[in-house]
Amino acid sequence: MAKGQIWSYDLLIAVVVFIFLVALIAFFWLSISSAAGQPEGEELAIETSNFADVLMSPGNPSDWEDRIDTHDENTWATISLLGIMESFDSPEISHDKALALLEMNETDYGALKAKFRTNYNFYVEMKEFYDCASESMQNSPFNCSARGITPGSDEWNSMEHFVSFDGKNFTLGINPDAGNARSASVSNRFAIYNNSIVRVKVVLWTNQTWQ
Amino acid sequence: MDEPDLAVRKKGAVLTMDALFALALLLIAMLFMLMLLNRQVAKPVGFESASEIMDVLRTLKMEGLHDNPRYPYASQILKKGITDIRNETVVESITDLFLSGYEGEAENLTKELLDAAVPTDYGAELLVEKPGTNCEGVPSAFSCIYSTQRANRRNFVSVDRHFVYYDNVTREVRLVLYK
Repeated sequence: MAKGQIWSYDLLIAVVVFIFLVALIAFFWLSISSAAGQPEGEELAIETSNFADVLMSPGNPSDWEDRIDTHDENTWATISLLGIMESFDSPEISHDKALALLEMNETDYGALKAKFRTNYNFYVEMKEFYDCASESMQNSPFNCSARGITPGSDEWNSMEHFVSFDGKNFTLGINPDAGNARSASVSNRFAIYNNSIVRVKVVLWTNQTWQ
Repeated sequence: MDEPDLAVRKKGAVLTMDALFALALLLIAMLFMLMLLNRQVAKPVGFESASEIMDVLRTLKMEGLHDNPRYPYASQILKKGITDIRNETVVESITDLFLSGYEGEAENLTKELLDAAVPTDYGAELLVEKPGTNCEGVPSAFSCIYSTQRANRRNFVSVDRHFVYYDNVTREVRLVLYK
């Protein structure tokens, strides 16, 4: 037997070709996985986070609420981003922007959805926290009874209450329960309004099945 | 005459094989590099909560809570004039109260602000840099100002820090959220 028969060029070429093919298959496998997209649940979560980021910004332009007619979606084209914050430096919510968004929601939900550049349905609510039964609340001008909350009701007993802008509860979009949502993703954000902590809950949802 | 021809052929065979081998290795290396570059980085979601809550606490002023019907306890503390916290932000006031020995007041003030705001499936802790026991009851460089234990397990979600200056020392205030 000649020396070095185990080590031969044939074996070398075979090993190289084998590694090459494995690498090629792995490359195309990963490429196809990336092209097919991320898992749908992760995509929904990421889009919810992006939606919330846009909402909790001042918007673009930052004085967008002064540039449009909230009752006419034809005037909305000049705005690229809709946000409710006073500025990037502050966690305070702008009353005018929040009210404008409420009015836009009443005008055309579909157009608003397109403005947020999402294919999912959305629901946003803003809540503040206080005890309706406390003496300070009952003696205040915006006590719960005056706002139509019945003493002893679930909302009365809850610490969470919708933030009101000129008499309108801050809710946007369609509640996922009302829309028979199959999948939903939630993002809770925090801010200040009227010297109080408020929580802005953003829900993106769909009633489509993922196949 | 045959031997030199054979030698030349052998040389040619070795050169070709080496070149092929090198080329193959180069191709494999390039493929692996492309594979690594092609990976998408997932955006971490849900980590903004602690920083936003801390942002709120360091923006909101105690003066703004005075006579705010939503925060009767805060109004009470201000009226009592326990410490001079009227011009401070909420996080400074909480820390001031705690470090001044008014630990119950600090806890109750934090409770009034955060208890209902933090979602029910999250737990929250507020700690300050002062040797004591943390919110799990373990001796630590951080003392627990406030803790709400709602989750059965403590899976860390997010944390944010703020620094306060008290008694000529800079101290860290830490807010931790977990599920």
